[in-house]
Amino acid sequence: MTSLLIILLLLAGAYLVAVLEAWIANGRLRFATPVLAGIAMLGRESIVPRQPDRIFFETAPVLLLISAILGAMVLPLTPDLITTDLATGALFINAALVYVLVALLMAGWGPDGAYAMIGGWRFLGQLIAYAMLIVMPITAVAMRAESLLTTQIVVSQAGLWNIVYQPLGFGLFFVAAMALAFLPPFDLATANSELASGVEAEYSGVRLAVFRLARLTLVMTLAAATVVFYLGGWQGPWLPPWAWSGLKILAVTAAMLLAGRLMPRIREADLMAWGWMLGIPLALLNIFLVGVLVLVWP
Amino acid sequence: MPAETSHTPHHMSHTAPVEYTCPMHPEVVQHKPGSCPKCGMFLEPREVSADSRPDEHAGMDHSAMNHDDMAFMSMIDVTKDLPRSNDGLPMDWIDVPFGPFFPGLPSALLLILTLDGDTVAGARAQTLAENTALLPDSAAMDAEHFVERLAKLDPLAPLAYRLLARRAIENAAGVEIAPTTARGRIGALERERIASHLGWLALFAQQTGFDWLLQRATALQLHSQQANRQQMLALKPEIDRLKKRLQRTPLLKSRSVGLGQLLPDDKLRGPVARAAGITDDARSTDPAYIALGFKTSQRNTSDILARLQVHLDEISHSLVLIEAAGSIDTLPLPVVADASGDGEAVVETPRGSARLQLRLDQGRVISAQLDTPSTQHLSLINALTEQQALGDALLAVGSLDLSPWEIRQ
Repeated sequence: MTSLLIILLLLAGAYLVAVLEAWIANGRLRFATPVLAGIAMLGRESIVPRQPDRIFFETAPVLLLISAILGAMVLPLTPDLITTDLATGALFINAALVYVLVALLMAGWGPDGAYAMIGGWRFLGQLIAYAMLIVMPITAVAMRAESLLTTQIVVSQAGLWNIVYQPLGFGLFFVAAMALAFLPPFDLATANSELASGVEAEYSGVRLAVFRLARLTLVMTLAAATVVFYLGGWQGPWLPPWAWSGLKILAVTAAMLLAGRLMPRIREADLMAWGWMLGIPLALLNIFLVGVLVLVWP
Repeated sequence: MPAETSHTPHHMSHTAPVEYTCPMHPEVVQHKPGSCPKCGMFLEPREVSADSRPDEHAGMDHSAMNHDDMAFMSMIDVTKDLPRSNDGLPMDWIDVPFGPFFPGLPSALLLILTLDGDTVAGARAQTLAENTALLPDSAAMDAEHFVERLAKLDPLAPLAYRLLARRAIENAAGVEIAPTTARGRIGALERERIASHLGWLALFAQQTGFDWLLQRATALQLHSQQANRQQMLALKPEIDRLKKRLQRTPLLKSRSVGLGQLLPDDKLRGPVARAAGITDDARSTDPAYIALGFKTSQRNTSDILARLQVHLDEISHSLVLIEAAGSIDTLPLPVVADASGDGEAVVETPRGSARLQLRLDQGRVISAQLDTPSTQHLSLINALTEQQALGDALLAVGSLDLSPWEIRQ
């Protein structure tokens, strides 16, 4: 029952992200557009390219959607509104989101097209850059909570949110989450002007609709994870917990969508170099600082 | 957008007889499954076709090897005959078309990149703009008609070519230009330069996925195309804000510094040349420009960042010139009655200097030769993209500001 509610909330969230995305892109707040665009996509022909790897081609969009939903399953929206409060929740979300890479590689290989394939391999490189920067900041968050339970992580921030307690970790996680969701400026896999949409290039109609929905859901899941790990989850005065969760998630999503519009796309070589030469030392420093802080001022 | 590819297809037929070989030691071949005597790995099945028995491989030319014949993917076998790039990693090279309608390139430009993974191993470029009918090669037409035709040559810089034709005809006919007319023409030419340079910025923004800049530059370009002098001068604060904003934009420098470098070369024209430290500008020898206080903008690093800076500087300086010129001319058709003679003119179009030589006979143009900047720049594409990552290569091609319409193959 809770699972169903969470999935419905995710879908509603994806819809709101689509509205938000269009609003940020062209300044027009239209609530019907995502629905109409979705219906239009369902009505269009879904072309299968010549000589596809049929299994990869068909599975990829669905796998991306499943990966995003799985990740959301361990994130609490209120103390009770969580599908499964796994004892290893903070770890599980990493495991679930690894399938984003698998899905994009499959989407790249499946259609037997050059643009898509280069996009898929690019994302493999991107994973090498961002993966550690997802795991290591979460480690510091779990250290403070002394638990991998996501509800416990929220409770641990009752006095002071992690965004203040470990701002460095928040910065790293936020950027890495944008890279994981291949949002601009990290949209190397779907770059329109370099690869004519890359891994999405050969998808159309209903398959593209699933792909887009999965992408929106993924952004929601990562925004929710940022809220749970760094922004005190459901906590906040006056409003009920679910409202706080919702507002914070939308705010994080808006920040993620807006940031990419204000700068050019990153170069792959730079992403890789900064991820390893700057990001990982900073993530280690963050773990060290949090370790000291936890001992001094829990 | 579908792409023609030639990489290994996923599906391989399973009709030929099978033999077994080691993935690491291709010389180990037997007719039943087992393990390799050298390394102990499981032998993998491979189809045997009449023309590619492994024991005959030694003396064969593998350049045309067909991967379909192989039932397994031994990386050594698959890649041993492939050309190697500078990084030493052998990969299938694929020819990928970019254009003629590609989101990050000027329309009608066809760029075929040979990709080695994500690295460009070779490039071919051509224009598909069928504009030959408009070219004044073997022209024999009225002077007015000639000017109209040249103005239609390049829809991305119609005014510059109209002015070029006018000047050449006026020179041939020996017509003197009044100083006020010359200043009005400068106003018109500089307005077109501002619009064109804003278009360059918009393409740069489009290529790098920089949506904010794309919207701003496109809006300003649209606004400046037909603006009068007052409207143009009103754009100054907006353009200053844009420049200031770009200086603070994160990632912009790392995206453009040191990339797309070109050696100084006599093929370089216009902003591309000035970014390479070459003071190639037809305006610097024009007395009317000198009188208005013209000075060239110049950078020395010859990379994409230098081109960006030169374009931004020139937008500001063009506004100064428009202010000093005092008016924007509409460039009416020339009146040359029955004049005869040879004429030559050079105009600094937004993409660089274009040169036109023509012969006038009884008020009719009987022959003409045209040299355009994009024609020269097209031949630079190979040097510009070689061994660059795909994204950098496309951005470098974009930074040349090619107009497919003025390219003459």
